[in-house]
Amino acid sequence: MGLLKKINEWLSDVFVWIGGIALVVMTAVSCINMGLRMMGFPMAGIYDLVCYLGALVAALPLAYTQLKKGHVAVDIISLLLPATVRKIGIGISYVLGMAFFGAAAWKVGSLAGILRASGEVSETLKMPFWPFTYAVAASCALMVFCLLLDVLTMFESSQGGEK
Amino acid sequence: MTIGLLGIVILLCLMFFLELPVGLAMGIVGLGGLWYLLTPDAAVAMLGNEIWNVFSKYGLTVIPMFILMGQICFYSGVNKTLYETAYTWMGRTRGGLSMATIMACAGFAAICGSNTATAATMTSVALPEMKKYKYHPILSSSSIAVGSTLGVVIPPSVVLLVYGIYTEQSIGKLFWGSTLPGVLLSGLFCLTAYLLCVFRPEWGPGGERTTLWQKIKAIPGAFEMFVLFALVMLGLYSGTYTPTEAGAAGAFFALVLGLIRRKLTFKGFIASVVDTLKITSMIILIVTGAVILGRFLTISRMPFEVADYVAALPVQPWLIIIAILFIYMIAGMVMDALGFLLVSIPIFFPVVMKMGYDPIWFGCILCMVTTMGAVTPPVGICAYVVAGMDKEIPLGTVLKGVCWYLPAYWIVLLLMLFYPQVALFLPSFVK
Amino acid sequence: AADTVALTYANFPPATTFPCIQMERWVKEVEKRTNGKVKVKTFPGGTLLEAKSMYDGVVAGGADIGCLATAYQPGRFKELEVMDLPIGFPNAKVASLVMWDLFEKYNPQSLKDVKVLTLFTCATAQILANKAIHNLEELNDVKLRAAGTGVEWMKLLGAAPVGMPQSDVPEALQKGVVHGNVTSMDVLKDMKYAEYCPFVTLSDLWVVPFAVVMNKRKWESLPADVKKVFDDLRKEQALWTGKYVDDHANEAMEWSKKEYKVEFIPLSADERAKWMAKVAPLVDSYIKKMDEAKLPGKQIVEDAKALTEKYSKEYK
Ligand code: NA
Ligand code: NA
Repeated sequence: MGLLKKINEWLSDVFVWIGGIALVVMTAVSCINMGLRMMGFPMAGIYDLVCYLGALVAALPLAYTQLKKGHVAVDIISLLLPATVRKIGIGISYVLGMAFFGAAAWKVGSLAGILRASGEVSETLKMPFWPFTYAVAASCALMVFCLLLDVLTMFESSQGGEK
Repeated sequence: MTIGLLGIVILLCLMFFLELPVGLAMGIVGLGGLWYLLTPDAAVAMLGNEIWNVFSKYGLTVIPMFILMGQICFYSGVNKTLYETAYTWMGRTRGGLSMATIMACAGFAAICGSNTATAATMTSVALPEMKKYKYHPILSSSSIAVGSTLGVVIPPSVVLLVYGIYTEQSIGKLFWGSTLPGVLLSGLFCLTAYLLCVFRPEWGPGGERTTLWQKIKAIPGAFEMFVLFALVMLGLYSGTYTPTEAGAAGAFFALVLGLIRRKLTFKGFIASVVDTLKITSMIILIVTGAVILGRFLTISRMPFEVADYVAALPVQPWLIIIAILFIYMIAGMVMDALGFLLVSIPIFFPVVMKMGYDPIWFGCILCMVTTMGAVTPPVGICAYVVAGMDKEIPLGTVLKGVCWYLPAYWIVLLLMLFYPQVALFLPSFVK
Repeated sequence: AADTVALTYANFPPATTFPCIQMERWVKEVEKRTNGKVKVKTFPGGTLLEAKSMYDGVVAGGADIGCLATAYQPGRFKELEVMDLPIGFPNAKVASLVMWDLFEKYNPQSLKDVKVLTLFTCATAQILANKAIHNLEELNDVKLRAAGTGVEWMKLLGAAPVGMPQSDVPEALQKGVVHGNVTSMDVLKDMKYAEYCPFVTLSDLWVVPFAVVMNKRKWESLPADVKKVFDDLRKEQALWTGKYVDDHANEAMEWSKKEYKVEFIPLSADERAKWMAKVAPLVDSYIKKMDEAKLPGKQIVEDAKALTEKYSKEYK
């Protein structure tokens, strides 16, 4: 369990680092494009690249954000419920989340496979972009792992409570 | 139709009883609905398509870049000095900082066309500062949430852009038309904040009296933010970059300013990047959920059926307008504003035109009514963003505060209904 | 009624644009010819599926029918990319018919997973700008918004192509971020480009090809008589749409002349020949790319040219 958590934290950190690099590159590339356009040398393809970097920026930190409980949820009503009921509710929500992101990881991954096999490239830059699609799929998969650990932690702590 | 309603009920249960993150709750209900209406295969494939679609959407890249700008400002202390100045000037007035924040939101709305980007940026700039001056979370968080909805009322505006392209109306005229209502709305928000503090003085405590000399001495504190704002504004209005690129320029200028003034450390920069990522993925997950839920509602044809029904009502034109506005208000609660706009405009627009109303006026009024949806639950994206960015402020607190601001929207709407000139005066100068 | 067929039809641009108008026409025609046996619900404006997820969405069954722009996904529909080349299409009627005939002859592998219901193109792209462009010299280094293959055309012609989403263009034009847009003329009226672009160079550049595709399982589940109605409509719909967009472009042209005094600049035959010579390398690189993919690129180009010549006589 402790090892799994370590792995999860390490992976989330790695994903965030890559996402951070994507954010910096995305901003820099947009600025460079503006600068070049002002000087009369616009780069037409830049807008493709910004889209795909944007996908990394949005997707890679998903699990890290979950780890820090940063995805906004509503607890107005559930706080009024008895503690056990609330806990079961949260447990169910983790499982639902796992199903959702599991399906997402699977289908975004197979979309990446289709894009790769069909040889589709980006509209203007004509660059293959399936690696970005795989990265989004991997982010969803890491979300599943993260939620799984949340569920396991819940079991662990409730067993601890009984002793 | 029924399945659409059922979906919304389930959504509320998931969100409120299971504490499911709101984006995820919307996504799950959307997926379940598609599963039921299409085939399981098709539903899951749609999910994959939509996630990739939303994540790689160019228009959304403005969000992380503006957040980065806000975070860099935060870690280089720009907003701290700005709020010190604001406090010296307006701190004595009850709720003065809330009013200053609303004004700042209105100003930011003039460079940014999206309300989520406005919400995220202003939360990072304003919320910690208001907390420092002991403003009550209900007041501080809700002023930012409603203030950020000005992002689409005050041009540039995504909603007006979509409306204009869809109905073949001049974007310029629409932008001008929405300006005066936007200013009015900002004014009413300020008034609301003031009145709230008259009745609940402890929400926005007034500070010490300051002398004129202290006030003048404090002005340089606002200097950096002013320069940053002026740079972004200038570039946008001179045409150096498009509204979507303004975020990148803003982040760049904030970085340069922070480095020149030697206030941004490398550690601070890393922290601002990491925070930006966290906030971005939180927002994009909500947007994704809203899109998937919207797909489900679209396929259930509920929005179409409601729209068709209202358009065919055999009553007075003004009653139809009221009904349409009511529908938009309700739809704004359960759907993403742009999603419903896309579905409903082809149905409502011809009806409204046939009744002889002005297309520019109708666009501005729709912009006003849909923007309210961004802070009303269950799908109130601006309120989510504010709540999501501060662990200590639950969503309920934000929503409680937002309720007090709703009359401001209604007053502007009524004004626009009874005096169409509010929306039509400025556009009449456009060729 | 048990024997009625209910279908969904997704489209990505706004309801007022020609891909949606042809959709509504097709729906009406189908309902008429099947005596109301087929009912189609339409979803314009990307409300059901968006441009780039149209094909995969239809394959998966998200919508039964979908209309997509094949050029938005370069590399995916390689055979149809011949439509992006300087073949010399004089108008959308000819281009649409050529596209259809090529599809029938080559039956592309990339469209094997769907039933193709029709194919058509937009009207030929012209240069809509805020400065007068009469020749290559005046086109040099002018900042023009272009997307996809248009970028390569503009580079070869010496202009400075700028990439940005369609929604940013009106404002970018007003602010001078770009000096023009290269697109078909219907936007002069439909999106009020006449307001910001007082000059149009009639250069008949590229066309944007569209495909209307249907989910294969759904297609196979249709009764034979319905299948026949759909099949009979395929080429007819291509021609109808081509004719509609050409007329619409001309109408937009007349309207902009009258309402906004837009100046239309025709290219002389000599000048046009110069332009076409500049972009000719596009054909060679297409053939090379197709050779690598083991597809008969050279043959397709030759056929496209021959068909264009044939149909040009018929549809001026
Ligand atoms: Na705005
Ligand atoms: Na809402």
